Amino acid sequence: MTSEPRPAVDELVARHYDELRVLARSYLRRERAADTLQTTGLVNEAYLRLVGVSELEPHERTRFFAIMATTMRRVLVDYARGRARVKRGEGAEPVPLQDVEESLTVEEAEELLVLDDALTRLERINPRGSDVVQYRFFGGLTLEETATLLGVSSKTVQREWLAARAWLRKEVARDLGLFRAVP
Amino acid sequence: MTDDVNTSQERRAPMHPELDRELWNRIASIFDRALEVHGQDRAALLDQVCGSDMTIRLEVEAMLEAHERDVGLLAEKRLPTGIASATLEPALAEGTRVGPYRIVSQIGAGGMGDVYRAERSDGAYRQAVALKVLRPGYRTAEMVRRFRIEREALARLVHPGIATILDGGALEDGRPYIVLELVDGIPITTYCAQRALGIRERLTLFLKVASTVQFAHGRLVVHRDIKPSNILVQANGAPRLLDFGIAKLMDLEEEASLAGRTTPDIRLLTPEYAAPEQLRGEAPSVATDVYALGVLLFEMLAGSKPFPAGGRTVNELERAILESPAPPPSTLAASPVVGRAVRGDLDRIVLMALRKEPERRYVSAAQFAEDVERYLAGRPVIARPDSVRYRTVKFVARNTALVAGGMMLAVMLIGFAATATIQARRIARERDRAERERVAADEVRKVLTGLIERGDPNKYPGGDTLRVTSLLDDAERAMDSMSGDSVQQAAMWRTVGGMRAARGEYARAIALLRKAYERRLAIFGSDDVEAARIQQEIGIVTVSYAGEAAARPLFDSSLTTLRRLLGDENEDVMKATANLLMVTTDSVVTRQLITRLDVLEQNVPVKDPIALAARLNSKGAERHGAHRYSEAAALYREAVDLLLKVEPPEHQDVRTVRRNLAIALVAGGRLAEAESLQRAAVLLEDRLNGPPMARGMSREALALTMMAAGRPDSAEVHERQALRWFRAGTAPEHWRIWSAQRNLAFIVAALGRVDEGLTLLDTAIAVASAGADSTSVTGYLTAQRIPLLLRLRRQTEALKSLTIAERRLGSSASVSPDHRADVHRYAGMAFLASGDVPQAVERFRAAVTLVEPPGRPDTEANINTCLLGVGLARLGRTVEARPMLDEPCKRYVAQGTPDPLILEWVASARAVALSS
Repeated sequence: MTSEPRPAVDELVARHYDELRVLARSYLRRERAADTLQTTGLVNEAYLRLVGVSELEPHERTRFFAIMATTMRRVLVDYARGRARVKRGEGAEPVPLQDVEESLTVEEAEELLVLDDALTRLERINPRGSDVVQYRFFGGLTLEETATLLGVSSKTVQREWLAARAWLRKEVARDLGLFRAVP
Repeated sequence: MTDDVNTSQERRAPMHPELDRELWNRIASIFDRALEVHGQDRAALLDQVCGSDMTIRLEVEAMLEAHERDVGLLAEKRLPTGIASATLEPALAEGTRVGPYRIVSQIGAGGMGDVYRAERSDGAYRQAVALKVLRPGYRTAEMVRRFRIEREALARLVHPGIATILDGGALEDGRPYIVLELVDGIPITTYCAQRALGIRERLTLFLKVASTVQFAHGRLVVHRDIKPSNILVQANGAPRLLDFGIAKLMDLEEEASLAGRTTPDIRLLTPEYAAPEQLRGEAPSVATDVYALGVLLFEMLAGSKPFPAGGRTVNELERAILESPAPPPSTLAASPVVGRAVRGDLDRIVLMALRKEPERRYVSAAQFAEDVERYLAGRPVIARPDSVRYRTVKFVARNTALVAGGMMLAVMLIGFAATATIQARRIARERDRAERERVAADEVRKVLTGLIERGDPNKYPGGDTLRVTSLLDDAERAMDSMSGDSVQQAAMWRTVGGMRAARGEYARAIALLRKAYERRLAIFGSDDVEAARIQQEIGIVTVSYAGEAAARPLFDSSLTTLRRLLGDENEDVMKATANLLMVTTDSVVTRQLITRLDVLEQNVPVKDPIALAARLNSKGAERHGAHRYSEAAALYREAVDLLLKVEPPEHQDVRTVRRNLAIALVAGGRLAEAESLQRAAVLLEDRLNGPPMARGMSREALALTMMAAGRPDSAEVHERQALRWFRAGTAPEHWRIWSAQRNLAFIVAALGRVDEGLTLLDTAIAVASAGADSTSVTGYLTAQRIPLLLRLRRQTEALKSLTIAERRLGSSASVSPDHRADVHRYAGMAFLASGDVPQAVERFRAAVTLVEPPGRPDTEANINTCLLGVGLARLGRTVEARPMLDEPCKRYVAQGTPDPLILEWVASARAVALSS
């Protein structure tokens, strides 16, 4: 056997995007513990399958993880949207019945939607803070990994993280009230 | 975003309209500093830095408060951690010992494991090998199980074209590994490019790959991930397949256990090479590899993939694979020279392999390879341009006759629009024109108009038949006595002819239509569109009266006229082409017509609701053929709705489509719904005294529904009626007749009169041998003797019938996979009854493999699986057998009229399987 040539970022993503999505769904379905979204296990398993990530150039790695985190966010949000719709009685189409009990609670789904929305706003006023949240929350990277990827110190990442997180929590808490008040 | 979130955004918008990057920086920096201090100090700090800016002060205070409230999704404890670092560390260092092997270096990473170059180092000799091991942290039970399957799959595959498995074991931490032969070669596409191979050389190389894949399929292993990097060509030019990493056994045990899991099949594939069904998460099959071989050949010929990822998002790529037709490889060829060489047959071959629907690709890698060989030998290839509907409809119309107890879908001939409204309009038009030309027979016209109103049984069902007939007779006499070369007269003959046809008085109808036709010819000469239309109508009546063959010249000649007068792209021409197709048997002409019709469909807008309904009906038949029964039912319903806008519910067209709907409902297991539809249809036909063929078809449909519902006694009554009507309505060798005799054979056998059934079946065979396609038809019918013979304990004779049947069937292309599966099942039954269990198992397995996709709702799929379970149980492979003996057998038993012999087998197999 010979080694394959080092794959480009796009090819890597193309190769794994699909399975990542499938995995995301399957995790949401089967392993919902009381207090976790299980993104850890989910992203873990997906990442472990990636071919040649370690061989990527630093700038490619950043891009790669960025795409992966975005993907995960999209999958989760899509899923949450389906959940929230079920609650509203707009048809159970996206989520088969058996999954309903095992996946995100409706409250979590709503929170995720509101969080996604707030994160989009944060991106406009603080792009790096939003990247940090995306990597850490949706991408599952540690502080240090995020720092390496962004090419800044861990301390900077920590500062960005705390501020962004506090702002998001505040926004989410308020919007959730509005969200749920909508008839 | 959902509407709700948008709404909330709007409501909130005015609250901090001014928040921008600059402001954020100020807020964040104050927040940072405030985190350092607490209590009074914090308040003092905020007083100091915010001053009178309440916006900032409120924002920061809210953030500080939120910072302390560690709940919700963004709570610290819920944060996933430490993924990248775990991922990125290398698994096995150089020099690591793995059993008798020593790791030399990592040489690659496959879908689920790293691959190392290693050396066998136990002193005896040195041998370089490839060692494949699961990645660290990659140890879910599912993965380990799959890895084990891979080892077993590979062990079965000893072939010069496949990297040999040498060894296998587990690391100290329990991770399994396999040791493979180290292949020294380069990816096949690179090889082609480096050597600048010509097209013929590339095709020859491809043939070697295809034959290797075929070999694996023969061992019930599908590769699932065929792509250039998995096919290395060695210096001697021999290609070798690697990485059965996601190979999946086609074993039923595997299928069954996978099907029972709620977790989706975790896909490890490469999107650009993935078949549509893989993206949909369906079980892979032989067809999946055929598709991947198609992508491979595409790339070897064109130098690029049919759906390249470059520039597309993954979603776009996925959508393209699922929905867009693959481009012909010639259009993407790197040079015009190559493009010219590939255009035509090679394009067709590749595109046939790349069809979206697995069942419409080459049925095997071998068939694919044979077509490439035919191309190389300069012989005609079997691949044809893609034309889903007509091909399938044609197939369904002609070959469902073969299916045991199967029901025949009816095609709708288009053109005899003869609805009361349309025809009235037509008459009115003719009348106006005639009135302008001369003053004529007003009185007769009045009489006729009245007659038309009362004489159309479609309009007045249950009217006094005798009276109607005599009125029609009167009308004809009156028309005949009309003077001169009247256009009106022709129109009236045509109208009355249509009414006669609707009453099943075909001979009279044809005579009248002929008079109308000749009259128009006499007046307008041969350049008359109306005359050509009338000729189409004569053709349609002729199909019922004398059969398809007799109608063919009529459709043919009128089509020629219509094309001459109206040009190629015209709705009339399209209808006439569709009609001609339905009565054509010659395969070359069929192909030409299909191609022409496809072009017409794309270019001609269809407005005629009847033509549209006919199209929906065809689509429904096509979906039916693909076992998508509920989709088919939906299409039929749509067609009925459309027809009901222009035709009365009793109209022939409506009944035709309703009949198809009922058949789809039966196939989909919705028996009660089907039965009530069919009973209504039979009642209606009887009341209308409809044409014999229609009445026969309605009866037969009801009979077969009764069989499915477990009421063979009732089925017998209706099937005998059907046979009578078919005899009354068609030529003696018409396929409807032998098909009905065969159905009757199985019905009486279900009632315990097996001897009588066998006699009936033999009569059917005799009748069929006089018709077209007789070799494959009689071959199939001969195979159907087997279950009856076995019930009479005539095993030897059953085996003899098998030999005859298979010789006749040969490799005839007109035998569908479903029919082949049936024959395999009958063969398996014959072998099982004769005690040759291994042969039986092999045949049952072949039948199961052919009736992919799994999970088909109809009996065929369940019975094959169930019988395979019986065979395996007899071999003592009870673990494998048990799931098959469970659900599939239960389903088979639950359907209407199971074969008592099979019930016996199932019972004893279950006893064995459960006791062990």
